[in-house]
Amino acid sequence: MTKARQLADLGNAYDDGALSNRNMIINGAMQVAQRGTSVSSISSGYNTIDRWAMSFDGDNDNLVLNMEQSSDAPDGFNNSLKLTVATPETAVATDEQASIQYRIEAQDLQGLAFGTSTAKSLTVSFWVKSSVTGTFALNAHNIDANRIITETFSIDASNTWEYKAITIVGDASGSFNNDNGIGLQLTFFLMAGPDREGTSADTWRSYLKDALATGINNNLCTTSGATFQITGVQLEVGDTATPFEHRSYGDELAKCQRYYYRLPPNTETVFASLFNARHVCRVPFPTTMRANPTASTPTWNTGRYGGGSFLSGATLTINTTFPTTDGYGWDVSSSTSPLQDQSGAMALTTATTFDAEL
Amino acid sequence: MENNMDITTAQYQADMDGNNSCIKATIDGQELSVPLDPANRHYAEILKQVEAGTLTIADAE
Repeated sequence: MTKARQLADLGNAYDDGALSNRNMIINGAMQVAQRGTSVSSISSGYNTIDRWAMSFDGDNDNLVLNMEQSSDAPDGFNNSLKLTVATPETAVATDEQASIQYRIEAQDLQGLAFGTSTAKSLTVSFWVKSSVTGTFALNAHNIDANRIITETFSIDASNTWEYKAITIVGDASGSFNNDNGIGLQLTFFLMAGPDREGTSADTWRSYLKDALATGINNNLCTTSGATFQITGVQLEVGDTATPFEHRSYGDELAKCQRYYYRLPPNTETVFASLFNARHVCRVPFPTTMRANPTASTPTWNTGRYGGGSFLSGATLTINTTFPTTDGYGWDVSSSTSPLQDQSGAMALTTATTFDAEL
Repeated sequence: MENNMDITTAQYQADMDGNNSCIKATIDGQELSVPLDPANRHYAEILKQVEAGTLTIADAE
């Protein structure tokens, strides 16, 4: 690429209002994996790498995929999201699909001016590598307006990192709500049954299942041991793909923690005694979460509470919880009755998670 | 979008004033505390399954 071309692209990015914070994708370099770095036999939802979900529909007769945060990545990246076909699908039937999804909050999409005559184009760029060549489908779904557009990309050479850039035109007909719900959902289809690939949809249209994965043509999920990797995903305003906007690990982690936060084992949590054997424990979040989160059930090491004498060996029962976007509280009863108004710290014995994902 | 959450149990939990404050649910085999927040995807799925008649939320003890 010539310097003149680079300057022209920069000018385009300026015109589109995206010289900084260009990338609307969080964790596009697959750096953050709070849930873990490897999961076998994955299911719909979030499995390993933050913000990246899987979606399966239908029976998927016997398809089993494993997911990992791989250290195999193109130059300039350290990680990729890697899927491996552990057990292949025998035949891709109606209602069956497997896909990778990324969801963006609607309130973060207001600058796109969708639903107006000045709706802006978007460009999604990424690095991809697969052991199976063929054509894959990518759709953008405006959840609020229930409108979609579907594009394709090809894997031209097996086991080779390839850079792809796809421009999605703006949609003058469907706007995004200004709220914390899902606005735009990007879906990378790995596999789709015939009921999802019938109608051409390379322009925005009302949601139609038949147009979700139009043009898909590959044997990834029917090939035992096949692999699919993706990283460096960037979604930016405009019709030009600019170089990937690298962010620090700390920045990416903080952005991810708006949607998912993991308190590791041995974290000391503060307890305050209310009355009799009733206590309140509260932990603050490092980042305001998108919504009140779902929490896993914590367990505490009572042997260390208050220096070891206060609730040593007590059995704790969670009566109820107090979720907010800024912190989380538990109302906890103990099997022993400490002095009223006494407080102490107690360590978590297992990780406790807070989930406010889209 | 298909969530395909496997929700096997759901029961309200009440605060000290007796008001429902969250739902204790078993989702995909894990015991979770779900807030009564429509923007929370687990709560939205619980409401969806309740409306479909496939799930009942038990009263708080």
